[in-house]
Amino acid sequence: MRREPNVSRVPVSVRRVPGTFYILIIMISLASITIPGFGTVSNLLNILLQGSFLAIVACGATLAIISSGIDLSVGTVLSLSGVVTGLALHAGIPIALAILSGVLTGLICGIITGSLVAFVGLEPFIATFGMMSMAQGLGLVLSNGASIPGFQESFRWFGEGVVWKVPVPLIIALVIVACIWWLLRHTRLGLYIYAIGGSEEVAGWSGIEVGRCKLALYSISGCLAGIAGVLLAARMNSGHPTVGVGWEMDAIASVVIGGTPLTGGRGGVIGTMVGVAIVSVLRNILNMLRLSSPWQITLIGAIVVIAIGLDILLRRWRLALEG
Amino acid sequence: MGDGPLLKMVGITKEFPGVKALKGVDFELRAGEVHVLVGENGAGKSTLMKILSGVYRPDSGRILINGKEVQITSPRKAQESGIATIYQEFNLIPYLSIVQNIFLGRELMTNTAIPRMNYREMRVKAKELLDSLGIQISPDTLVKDLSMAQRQMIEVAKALSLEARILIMDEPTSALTSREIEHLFDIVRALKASGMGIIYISHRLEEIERIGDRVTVLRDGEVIGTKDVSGLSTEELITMMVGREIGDLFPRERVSKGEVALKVEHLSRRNVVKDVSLEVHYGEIVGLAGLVGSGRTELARLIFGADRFDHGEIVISGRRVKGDHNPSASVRSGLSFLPEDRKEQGLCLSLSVANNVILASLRRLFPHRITSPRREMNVTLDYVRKLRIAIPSPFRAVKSLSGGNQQKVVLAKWLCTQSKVFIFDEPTRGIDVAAKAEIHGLMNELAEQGAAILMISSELPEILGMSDRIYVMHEGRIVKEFTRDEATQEEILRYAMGGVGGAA
Amino acid sequence: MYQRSQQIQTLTHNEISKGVATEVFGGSGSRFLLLVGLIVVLSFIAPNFLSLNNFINVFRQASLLLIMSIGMTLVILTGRGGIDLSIGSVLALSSCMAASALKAGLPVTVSIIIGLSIGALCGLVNGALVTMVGLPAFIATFGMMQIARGAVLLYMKGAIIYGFSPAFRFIGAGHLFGLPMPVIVAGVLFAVFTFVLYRTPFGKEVYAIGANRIAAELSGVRVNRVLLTVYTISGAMAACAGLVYISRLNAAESVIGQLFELQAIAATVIGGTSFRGGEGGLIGTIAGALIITFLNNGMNLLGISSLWQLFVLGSVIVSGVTFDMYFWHRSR
Repeated sequence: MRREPNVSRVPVSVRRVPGTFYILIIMISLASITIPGFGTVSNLLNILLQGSFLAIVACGATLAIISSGIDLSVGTVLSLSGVVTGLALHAGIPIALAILSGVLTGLICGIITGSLVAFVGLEPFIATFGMMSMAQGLGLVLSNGASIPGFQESFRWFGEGVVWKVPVPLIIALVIVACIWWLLRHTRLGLYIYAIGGSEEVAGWSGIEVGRCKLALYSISGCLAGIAGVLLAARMNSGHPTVGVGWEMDAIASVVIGGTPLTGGRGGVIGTMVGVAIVSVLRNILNMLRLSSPWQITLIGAIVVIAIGLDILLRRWRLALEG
Repeated sequence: MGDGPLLKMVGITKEFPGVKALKGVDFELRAGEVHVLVGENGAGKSTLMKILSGVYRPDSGRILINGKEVQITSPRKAQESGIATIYQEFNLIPYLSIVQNIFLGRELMTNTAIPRMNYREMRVKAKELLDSLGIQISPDTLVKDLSMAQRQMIEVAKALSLEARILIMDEPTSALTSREIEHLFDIVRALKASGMGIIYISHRLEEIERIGDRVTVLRDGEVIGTKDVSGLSTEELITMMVGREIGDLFPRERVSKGEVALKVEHLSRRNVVKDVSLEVHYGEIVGLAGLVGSGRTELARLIFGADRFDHGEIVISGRRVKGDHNPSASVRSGLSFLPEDRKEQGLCLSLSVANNVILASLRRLFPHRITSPRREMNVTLDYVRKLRIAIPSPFRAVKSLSGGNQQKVVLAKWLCTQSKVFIFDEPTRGIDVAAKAEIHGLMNELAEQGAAILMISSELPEILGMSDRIYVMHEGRIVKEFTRDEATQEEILRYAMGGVGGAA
Repeated sequence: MYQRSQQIQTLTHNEISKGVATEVFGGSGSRFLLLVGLIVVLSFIAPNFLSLNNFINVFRQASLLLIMSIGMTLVILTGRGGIDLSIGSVLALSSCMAASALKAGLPVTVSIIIGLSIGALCGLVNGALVTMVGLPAFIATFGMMQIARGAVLLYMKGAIIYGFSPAFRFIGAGHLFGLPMPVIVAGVLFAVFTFVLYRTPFGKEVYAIGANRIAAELSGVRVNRVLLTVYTISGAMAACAGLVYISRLNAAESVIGQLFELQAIAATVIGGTSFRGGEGGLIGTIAGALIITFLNNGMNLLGISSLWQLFVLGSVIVSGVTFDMYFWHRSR
């Protein structure tokens, strides 16, 4: 009569390799065979490098989505903090402080969205949607709508430098991913984020301070977007006010492809990394195929819809099969 | 007990915009007793308990634990004061493990330089707790994989781990089977013996006799009285609750039965409903008994078209249901379905009473696709009067009504469709005794006027009192059909629990 | 029990009218107060604000926004994160297609029908993705936003189509009874959809779905059909706004309509329609559309850089919802 319950030793997050991992392998194999130049070390390294920025942003998006929220502001916050860093550098502020200002910009944006969600009680969708246009607007105003190019060598190291042949952004991304993994797996905040995603009410009844957790997670997300913005500015040798347009959707797609459902409560950062890899490989393939920008816009839209749609349909079918 | 009370609440008042929910309530709980709290919906029980568990703060009044005044400002503060609550809707998170749930909010951390959660120690402690309750499940199991009863036990384990001295149980048996209730009662007795004070909220009168030591009746935010359970008759208790005599809980008149209204043959859906055949005639109330999880609600949803069936046949009022069975088609062929959870499935809470009442009959009332406020109001008021729904205006949002009135609005919605075939899923769950009697009266009236009613209920007295015939389900099958005269509580239970012949 | 509460027996004609009016107007009175306040402030601080020409200009622009916001209001009313991010791109795609039909020499009516059908079709696809696939609306409509924009860029290849026939130009630039045509178009559409929302079963179903989708479905409401219709209407409204827009500009190109979705969302939200679903309505949206347009107009007149617009829109959305929660709908 009673079903024998599944026994899982590790709490929720990171047990299985997501099925999408195999899709990634297949994609890479197919692309290396059919597209000349895809399989080269330099291109693969390039994908990893490109993916680093998305990985950092997607970590924040993962936290938001696990808590059954969403963060739409990561893309424009990324742009804004790049602009702020650029302005700071051009104003002759020391590099460390300039970087700090960029990261702080992200953090402040995160604190604002976090407070709106946690204490005002806005839905995450609408709070971060508002922040998305505010950050974009502020970026445009501060930069006067133009990019801020040309930084000193020592700052650009953060985007272009290599340590033991590994690009610096990749190292930073790996450290951040490891931190977020640890956060989700071994800290109270991490567990509470899962709990809030599972049932906010219950989390509150259990004495968890839901508001503070939400504030913390959106602040982390904003801060990560800030870090990514600084690194991207260093990489591109310019702070550009619209560089982050659409990144929020790439990040969300990565999270969902990586097995964290939009309904929250489960999933994890390892899966998101698979998602990031898939999105980055796809972007790379579109570039390698030299598709024009309108085609890329169209395809990315279609891919986001198809990927997330498939995820939902597959879940539904699996549920139907289980009865 | 000798020494003073474990908990004393004095002069508790609480006002919400427009409502005085509690008017100076005094309440007392001794160590080692089960104190039952009863009262109709809106009497103030849940407000009182929410104050005790830190969800609300009282406007005035004092709370004393062991004679010392405490300020309960948050759920966490309540926990620290030794108060644990088991809510009606479970207080567990499905995708977290048992360990994580039990220690949620109070995780044990390691003493390392960078503290991390100490799952090893928590797991050991959780295992001890589970063992003490006689549950053989790995503490790493995800809660979503547990049965309702198991979840409840996890709740109890959680309360034990809190070293709570005061345990609030809000209708703990509403989702349990009889055997599981027995197990729960055993545990409650054991907790009691260990000196815990238990506040037990229930709508089920028989439970009060079985488990309660004292009972306090709340009505309209005031304490009507506190009595010892021994020597208190059901009549007396009900009188305290409603403030007037109720002769018979289940008034019913015999009616002659007509043609077949609803016919189900060999209906199956995967592992949930297996080869079910049944008939309901016009002018007849048919009870569908069975334990929670036996497939009753699932069967009702299949008949109504809310889920798809794999095999079988449904005939509603002589019309065979085709492949594209859905709620909309069912409504049009004159079938009504009152779901068990009215707030989640029955009502649009933020909309007006009128909009709720006419929602299922829009096509019938306004065939030209243009609505008329006058017609809407007239129709709504007809049912408001007929069902004696207490509302100041049909424009009032449904969420402001009491549970019994809300259920009547759902009923009005279906009466308004003028359908002849009804499926009632737990029609009187969680509503007060008086409203319950009214709804039973209405069902009888409907049957007298020739409607066919299939009624799902977990309360055997309700099934026995209301039904002309009774089907019993067990593990997705109908295992027995009783006539009204053959059926007894014991017999129904025996079949429902799979004790006789039923499916393997 | 029932004896102690009041029991109503009948309602007079007046009581019914009053009740219906409350349902239709809801809390939108305070929105109009906000609008009046904004106008008063602007008339003091903005030069040339108080002129007939400026007001006609604002109303013309607000009409365009209102047409789009009608669709957006319906979509947001259905709740559960209902939103349409694609209207800006759909507007561009459908109006460019209509423009090229005009240029190919097709009659005005046929071209208009082509434009509206393309908009409706895009909306239908949105609706299908939301209902049949079960995608969250912001994902589905984001996809459509990208796809429609990409499609129009590919189709137009950077060209501009300009110089339409007088018959077509009448829609956006003409006058009727002394009123600019866009105002009339918006007024008619607004009247039609207000009627649809409050005096048809469809409108009641929209509210019911927003308030509780499961209960609506179990009451026999064909939820998917209603949602498909709502998203289709939103697409068609975007197309309609696009036709008025290019007719007024006398030109169509692929980049028009960017960020229009933000304006429509801001207008709807400021108008009091809640993302919770089933709360708010079209009357408030008029106030919302006017507030947004006056705000933009005031900023222009005050010489504030248009770069600020996005920031202001974002703040308006956030503060609008915040205000909504704290002052207008305390009951939650």
